[in-house]
Amino acid sequence: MATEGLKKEIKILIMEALNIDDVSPEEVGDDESLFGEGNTLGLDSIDALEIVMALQEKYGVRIDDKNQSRFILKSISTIAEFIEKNRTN
Amino acid sequence: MKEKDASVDYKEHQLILYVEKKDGTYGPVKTGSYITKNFIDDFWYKRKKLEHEYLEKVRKGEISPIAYYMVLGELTPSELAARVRLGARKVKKHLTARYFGTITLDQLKRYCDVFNVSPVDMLQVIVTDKKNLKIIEEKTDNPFFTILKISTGKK
Amino acid sequence: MTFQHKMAAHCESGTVAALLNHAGLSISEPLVFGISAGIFFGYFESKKFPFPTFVVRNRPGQIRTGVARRTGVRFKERRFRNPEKGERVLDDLLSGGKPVACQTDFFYMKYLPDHVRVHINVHFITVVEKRGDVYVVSDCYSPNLAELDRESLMKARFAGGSFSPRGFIFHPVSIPRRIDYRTAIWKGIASAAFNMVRLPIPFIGVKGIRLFAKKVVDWPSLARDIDHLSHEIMKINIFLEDQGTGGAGFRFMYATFLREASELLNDPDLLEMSKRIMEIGDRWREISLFAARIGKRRDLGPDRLGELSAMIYERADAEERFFNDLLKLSKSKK
Repeated sequence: MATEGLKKEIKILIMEALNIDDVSPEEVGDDESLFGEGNTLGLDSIDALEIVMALQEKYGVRIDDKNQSRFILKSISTIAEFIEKNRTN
Repeated sequence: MKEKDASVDYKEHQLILYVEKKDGTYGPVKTGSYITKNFIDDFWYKRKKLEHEYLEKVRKGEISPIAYYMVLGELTPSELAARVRLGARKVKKHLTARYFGTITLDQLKRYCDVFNVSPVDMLQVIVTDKKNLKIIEEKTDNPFFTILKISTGKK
Repeated sequence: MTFQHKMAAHCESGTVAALLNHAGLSISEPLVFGISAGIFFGYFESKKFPFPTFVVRNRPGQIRTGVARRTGVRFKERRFRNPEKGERVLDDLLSGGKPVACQTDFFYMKYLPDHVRVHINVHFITVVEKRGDVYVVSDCYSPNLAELDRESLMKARFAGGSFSPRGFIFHPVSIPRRIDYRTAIWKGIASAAFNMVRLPIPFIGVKGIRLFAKKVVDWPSLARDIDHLSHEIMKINIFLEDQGTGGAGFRFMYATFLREASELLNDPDLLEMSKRIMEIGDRWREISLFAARIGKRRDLGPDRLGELSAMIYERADAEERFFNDLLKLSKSKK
């Protein structure tokens, strides 16, 4: 189970990478779906690219589409789980 | 694509395309840009028309100069906010004529850096009916202060 | 050793190739592009862009990392929070005689024609030397070595926004004595083919081409007026051919890669595939010329856009066949 600390870190990383200033990390649910309509962050495909690049840089993971990036990026929890298993720094 | 079909004579804008050469091998060729050569006039026509249309909106107080440069620069409020490192909500306000006056000089400078204009260009546009006028904005060590040099250029 | 400037089809593959060549590895741009699986397609709608757009190359950075991973070449890479430090480190490397690749915002490349300079943060240049307050730059899109003033380079290296460079620089630090080109090439081919036909993401690969074909008929509803629509339709030509973003251009470069690969590996199947993708590129070129013509004429009603859409769907079918065959071929060559 990924730590609360890691999940918060990831939320902050995403907000910074996407220049989001009108939502605080606490407002983003761990299991809520990040993409698509009706969610807190309202992210699109370009945001997905930026997040992938930011995660790769910070945690030394490789997210390519062979390891099903769309499942990894589903929610904060799924991202945190993936990072915990695969991080190199 | 065959080399002879790719070759466009246009020195002002050159690029590399990979083609099938006369001897059947594939390799790079330096050529002029087809689209620039044939469509640059139309590009500038559309650009000038857009400038004129949006300048009118600024003049009438419908939008701020920030919005004018943003549209011309093909940016969105969200992207502009990220580039000037201000919050999106604040930037959206700056796009309106009403809140333009709340921008600090420091914030204005950030917009200027993104649009590549001087602070003066945010507050003024020079319009003249004189041909061959050379207008140069000379930067000074004060980032908010420029010297405008106007001369009759001989062509 | 003096840096040999030359133009290239695409800034990232061109820069990587140029740096490797300078470091003593003779490798062409098409080989760099192919090994790193540069060929791609993606259709994007985002609040970061004022209008839908498409890309025909893989994610920025993947050309460099793909080459590194598959050939064993190693690059030193650095990003900076502090612009002053970013400048200092670059200057130190340059004074040591090392040319360095920089990621920049294309907008500030003053030596390129005005009308092409838009804000896009994923441009790569090689900085060759510093002379006083001016940098000597080898930019793949410039016919000659160019000069860029310090202020412009700083703004370009530290621009904010999407994919902000944050002063990113890289240069090669080690080149293996022997490169297994056979493995590198087939891995690159398999990866490219997989991305085009196996990814279950609706806006990527062949699916992305079909999405583009579907959506282009709705573009009039997104444009301010007919001139704006004309501008965006004509960008299709630019995106496909110019500025190193080139779809038709990239298909031609990929054909050259497959051709070089077929010669390196003595493989006639690759020669066949190279001819096929060259032809596919030719049909894309027809699309880009068509787009330019109808854009100029403002002939952009539903019939004409329907025609354009049909042509793009046809490209999707052709690429689906091609990349499926390429994927099958790559599996058989293990």
